Amino acid sequence: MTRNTDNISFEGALSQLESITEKLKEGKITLEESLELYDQGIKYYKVCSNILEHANQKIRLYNKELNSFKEADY
Amino acid sequence: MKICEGKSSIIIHYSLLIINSKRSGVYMKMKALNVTQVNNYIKRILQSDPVLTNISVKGEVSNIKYHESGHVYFSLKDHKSKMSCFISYENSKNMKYILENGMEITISGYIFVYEKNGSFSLNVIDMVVEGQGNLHIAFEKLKEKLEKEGLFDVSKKKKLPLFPKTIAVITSATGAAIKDILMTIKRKNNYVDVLIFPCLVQGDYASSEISKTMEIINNLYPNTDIIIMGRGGGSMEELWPFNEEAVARSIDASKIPVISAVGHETDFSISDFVADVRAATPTAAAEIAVPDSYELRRKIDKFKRDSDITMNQVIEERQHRLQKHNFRVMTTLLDQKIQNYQLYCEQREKEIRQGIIEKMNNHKNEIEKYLSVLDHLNPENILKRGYAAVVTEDDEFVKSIDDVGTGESIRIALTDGSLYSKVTGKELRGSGVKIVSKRKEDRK
Repeated sequence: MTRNTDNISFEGALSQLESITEKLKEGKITLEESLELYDQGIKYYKVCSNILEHANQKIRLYNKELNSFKEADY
Repeated sequence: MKICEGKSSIIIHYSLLIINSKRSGVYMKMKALNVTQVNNYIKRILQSDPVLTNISVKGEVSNIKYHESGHVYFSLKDHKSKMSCFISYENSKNMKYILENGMEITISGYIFVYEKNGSFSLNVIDMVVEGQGNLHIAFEKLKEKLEKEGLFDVSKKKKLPLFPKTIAVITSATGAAIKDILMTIKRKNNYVDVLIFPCLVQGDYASSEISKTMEIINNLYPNTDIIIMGRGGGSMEELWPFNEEAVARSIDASKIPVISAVGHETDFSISDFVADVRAATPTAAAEIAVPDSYELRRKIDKFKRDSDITMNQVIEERQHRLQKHNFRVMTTLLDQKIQNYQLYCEQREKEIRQGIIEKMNNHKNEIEKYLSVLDHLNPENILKRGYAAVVTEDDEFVKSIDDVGTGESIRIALTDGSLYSKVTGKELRGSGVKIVSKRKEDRK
């Protein structure tokens, strides 16, 4: 079910992004750490953004006899 | 045959046999049967009767006992009569209702004879409970039981994932619920996949289908993030499958978080209590289950923007600090310092110089003061004012009339030269007596 290459869930990436932004804002870190954090933040942003951009919602109907799904037209 | 009332035992009057025997006129000649044989015979008769093998009986539940073994014993009665009833453990597992004394029910099953006691009971295969009052009793009974077992414990509630990728929906494929759920999900979210598991949501087979589907999802599709189970509004009878123990157990056993959404806001079902989250309606369930992916887009974009701004600020602040401390600035600062010192030195020098000048001026003034005194004392100046100095022929100053004698030559020194003259007379100041013609002798 994982849709991103890094195996990070959207939830995980979002919370990373959130905490990185917070840490950056706090500003109690060195420039090197800031740059490092920013790079990480951009990475997580891309993960989230990718997931949202490549949304391809599927609605499928289960068939008990065949134990399979078919596209549902609702 | 007459079946007498009383403690689930029956007393058989052998009327049937007697009638038959009387007809044949061999009543007294009948060979006596033993009890076992009779009970055996009765069993065969009763259990092969087409009516009694598939019978439906209506009455009020009394003397209900839930045995440890899982079997259920009770009596069904009306105002005149009562009969023993039995639900085996196997059947009781699938019963849709938990019975309680006083409930009016309709049970269907078959008559079973216990040869040992010569008693019979109605073995229950299925039952129908109708009427709000009766259903409420069953509802409360099951609720109480499951609550006691801890199925409603808050500590057991699983958290819904913030960003589900797959949601399974257990409901009727044609009902209003699935339409509401899909409409809400599509409006809020363009990412989550929806797997619809069509199920009966009312009637006798609904609960077993729902609980089996719950198992299928858990076993075959364990990556499902959330299960929504429910249906639209209906009568209490129609919603009943969601008040059945089988459904409650399957929700409890689910490893995937379950949202229960049964009927309208005012409808509470047992499944609502067991589920991890209760939604008032199917639409509400969809609202709860999926995040707004469009809102998330805005949110992460804001994070990025904030980070960009912060990063720029961090860099600018560093640049600013760096600029404040570069070589040029340091040189300027040094120059400034030197200039300041120079200025200070010049100031001091000026002060010293002024001090000296002042001192010299003071001396000069003093000297000039003396000069003026000297000047004042210069006889030449006296002469300039019109006074004259009188000297003798020997150039001695004449300070008194006694210094020269009458007739003696004197020189009167003026500022621009001298006059030579002779003393012709003398007069003592203030006497008014002029001494004339005296010679040298009047000189003292």
